[in-house]
Amino acid sequence: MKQYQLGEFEEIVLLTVGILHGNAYGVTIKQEIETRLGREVSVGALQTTLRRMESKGFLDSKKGETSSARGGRPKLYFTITPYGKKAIEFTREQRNDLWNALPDLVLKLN
Amino acid sequence: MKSREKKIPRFPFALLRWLCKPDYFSDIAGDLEEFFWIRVREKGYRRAKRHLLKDVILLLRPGIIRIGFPKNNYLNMFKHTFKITFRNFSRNKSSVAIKLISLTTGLTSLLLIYLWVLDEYQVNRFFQSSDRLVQVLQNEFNPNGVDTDESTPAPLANALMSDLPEIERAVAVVPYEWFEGEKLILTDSDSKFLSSKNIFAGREFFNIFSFELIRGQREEVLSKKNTVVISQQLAENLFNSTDVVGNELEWIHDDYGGKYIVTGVFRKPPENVTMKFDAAFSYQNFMDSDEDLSLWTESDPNTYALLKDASSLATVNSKLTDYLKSKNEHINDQLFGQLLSTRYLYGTYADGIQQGGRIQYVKLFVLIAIFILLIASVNFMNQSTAKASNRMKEIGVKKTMGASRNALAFQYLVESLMLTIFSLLIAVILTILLLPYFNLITAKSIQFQPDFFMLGSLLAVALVTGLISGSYPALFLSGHSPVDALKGKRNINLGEKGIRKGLIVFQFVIAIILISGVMVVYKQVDLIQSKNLGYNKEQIIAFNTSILQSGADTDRNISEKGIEMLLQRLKNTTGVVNASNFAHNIIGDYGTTTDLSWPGMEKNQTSLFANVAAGYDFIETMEIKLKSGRSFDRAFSTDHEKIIFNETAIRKMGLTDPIGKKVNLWGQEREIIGVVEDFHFDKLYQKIEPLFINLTTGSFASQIMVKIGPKNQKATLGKVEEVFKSFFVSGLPFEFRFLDDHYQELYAQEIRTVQLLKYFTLVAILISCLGLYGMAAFVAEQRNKEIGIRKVLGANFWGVVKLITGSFTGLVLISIIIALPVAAYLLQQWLEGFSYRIELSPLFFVMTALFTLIIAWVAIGFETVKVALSKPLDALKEE
Repeated sequence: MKQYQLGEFEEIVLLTVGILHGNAYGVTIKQEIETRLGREVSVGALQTTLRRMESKGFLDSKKGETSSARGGRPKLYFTITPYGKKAIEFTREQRNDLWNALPDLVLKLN
Repeated sequence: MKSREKKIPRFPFALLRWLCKPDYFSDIAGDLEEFFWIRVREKGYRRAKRHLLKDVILLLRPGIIRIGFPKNNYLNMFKHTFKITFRNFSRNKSSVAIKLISLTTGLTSLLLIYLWVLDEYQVNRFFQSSDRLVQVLQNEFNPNGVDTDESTPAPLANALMSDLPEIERAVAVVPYEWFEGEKLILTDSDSKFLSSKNIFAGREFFNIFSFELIRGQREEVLSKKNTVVISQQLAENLFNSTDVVGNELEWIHDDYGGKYIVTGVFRKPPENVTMKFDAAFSYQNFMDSDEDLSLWTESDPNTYALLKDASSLATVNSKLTDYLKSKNEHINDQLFGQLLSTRYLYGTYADGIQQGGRIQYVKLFVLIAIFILLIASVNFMNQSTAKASNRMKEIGVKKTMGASRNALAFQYLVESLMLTIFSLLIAVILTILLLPYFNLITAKSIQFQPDFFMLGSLLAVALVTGLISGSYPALFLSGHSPVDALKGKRNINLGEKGIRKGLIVFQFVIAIILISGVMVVYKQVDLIQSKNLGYNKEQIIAFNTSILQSGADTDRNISEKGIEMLLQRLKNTTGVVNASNFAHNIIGDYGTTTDLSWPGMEKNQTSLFANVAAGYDFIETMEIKLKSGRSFDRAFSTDHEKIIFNETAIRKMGLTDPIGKKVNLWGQEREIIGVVEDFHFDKLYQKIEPLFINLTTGSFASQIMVKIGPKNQKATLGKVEEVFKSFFVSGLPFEFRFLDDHYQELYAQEIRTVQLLKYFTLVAILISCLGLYGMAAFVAEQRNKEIGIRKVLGANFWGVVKLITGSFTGLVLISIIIALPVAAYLLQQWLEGFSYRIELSPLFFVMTALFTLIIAWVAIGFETVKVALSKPLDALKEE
């Protein structure tokens, strides 16, 4: 199951692409993460992660419309592939397994 | 929200476009621009700008930027260029071979000469502060002119240190050459005897000369009397150890003999230090040996000074000029300083003025190197330009296919650069392989240690040659219109052919100058070697006497009686023709004096006479011819009060019928008993000087010369050695030298120069002929059809030969006409330096001209004959 393994930031990006459903491109993904999680995301980090996940097959991309605000350059929309869905579900199951295994006592004590 | 004055900065995008993967650029740039305008709205223009740059910089990470070159057409074009280059090379094998051989030999010669010059330049620059290390020289004004000498007054060094504030330290050194002809034997108290090169050196010696001391402190080693610093090698030979500080050794010598304590051991300096010695003795011992040494009128040791500041040499020199006069008003000699590091190359003085020296050889060879490289480059260029016009069709096709002019130019430049770089590589390898032989000829031990400067300049030379010779086809031919090129219309202007012819003439002018130079130099050196010297230098061996065998308590040095006994024993040896004893060195070093007066001498007239101190049979052994009178003879017991002059001396004194007349030498009356014919006791550069032979039978003239018969030389030498061994302590080798060899050594420089000149001239001729051969082949190819038609119309073999040879012969003749006057002028200049020189006869130049013509014809001949014999059909069938 190694191939499904996602990094923390990868997981966030993948989920955000899912949340934005159909409107996920560089600008919106960055803004969504920043507003929802309150953390700064650099374009560099985001782009590297997007491209990496695309090359792994978790994401798919297609060219969209242009606008004058973009200097006439097309947007690149990302969508989650079925393989990407599997990966995100796998990550979630892993987390759940871990939560289930955690004794209640531990949380109370801390 | 775009406002007009607020424009999005371009630089970050340019940077991103340059570095980012091309596929990613457009959408990332779009995102960035969108962010930018959002930020302009929220945070202001300036912060948005800053943020944009930050974003771009953060984008420069492995996932985004491109690595390596894009795979596009450039690379393919590049590959294509190389492919075409190799195809071209294999199509024009002979042309490429000519270019390669020419340039390789040219570069190899350049490299070898560069290494040689570098080695010459490095001499005596080994010392740490060689930029302010000065040797003090003395101009002596004698009746024959000004002599510049290394000998200076013995107290000078110490006086300079206290008198001149510009001088940091100074030292007096008595060089080992000072003892030449004397035996220098060291012993560790009688069990071992070694001969060594000894010097005396003042206490500052090791502070001034940065020889490496393995044992002992620089400040202390020579500060006390009876101390000695020896070389590591000598220490090992004498004591089998280098840890010898405190050990005693004995120097067996009439004046300086005695026990010395070893205070230090030094490591042998590299070969390029001219100061050679095995043992440095305390200068105090030298000073104490003779009271006269403290006089300013005597000149013995060499003096070296270390300036505080390298720039103060002129000031020091102005103070030195009258320095001796300030010490003793009767002294007219003048002192001056010269940097020790320049002494080697600029060491010759004539009448007190610096006049070249070895630098002349250095300059000569630099010139030759440049000449050879030029000749080689000419070949390269001629071949490139000639062959280029054969490629017009290629250019036409390429242009039709859309190749740009730049691409074509690039093709030609790559071709010639590849060749030059390749030949540079071969040249470096060749140099490394040839270096041992080169060292043999030059008597050097040069090693190939490439430095950045050398490699850089070599690369520059190769690149410039490649660029220049490649630039003609690259820039000119590539400019043709494709239609013209395809039609084969050669827009060859007259200039191109003219340039090629001019280059050939230039090449041959240089070659002819070199050829005539070698001929004349060779003849001159031959003259010197076979010149009748006035004595017979063949089959004479000379050796020093050594430590007598018997008795350690009695005087171990040979006495007058001992020398006589030895001479008699030698004379009785079979195979020995004659034997005599002498002092100094018959060719080169000899004493001189002005303390001689003769009847009829004008008042205040002084003349310098050379003093040859020699025993009985000297004139006979050397086969010097007697003009009148008799030689010294054992039958007369009073011959020590007699004297023999040479003809020049008699002429100088103006004596007629000199035999029986009396002269006064060193305050003693001497009767002239004989006059010898002039003989050359000095380099042939100098004229014969007045000379007298002074009968000396004592230990002062303790060198022995033996004339051996022509038969069984080896056996005779063995017997002479037996006599030597029976006389002197064992352990010391029998070291003898042939007078002939010694003589050769005097001219070693000239001989080596001629050798080198010969080789490099050969290279120059070879390259020139190669070029001529190449051009003949080119012309034959060009005129192939013409010759075919001529043959069909009835031209015969000789007609064709004349056709091709004719134009080249004309070129060679023009070269001869230009070169010979230049060569004659240059050689006349060179010959001026010799007092005995060959005459420059027209024959030399006729021979040079003939020789050049013949080799030129041979070079053209191959191609010419091939074309002349070919069937006209072969030439005409193709179109």
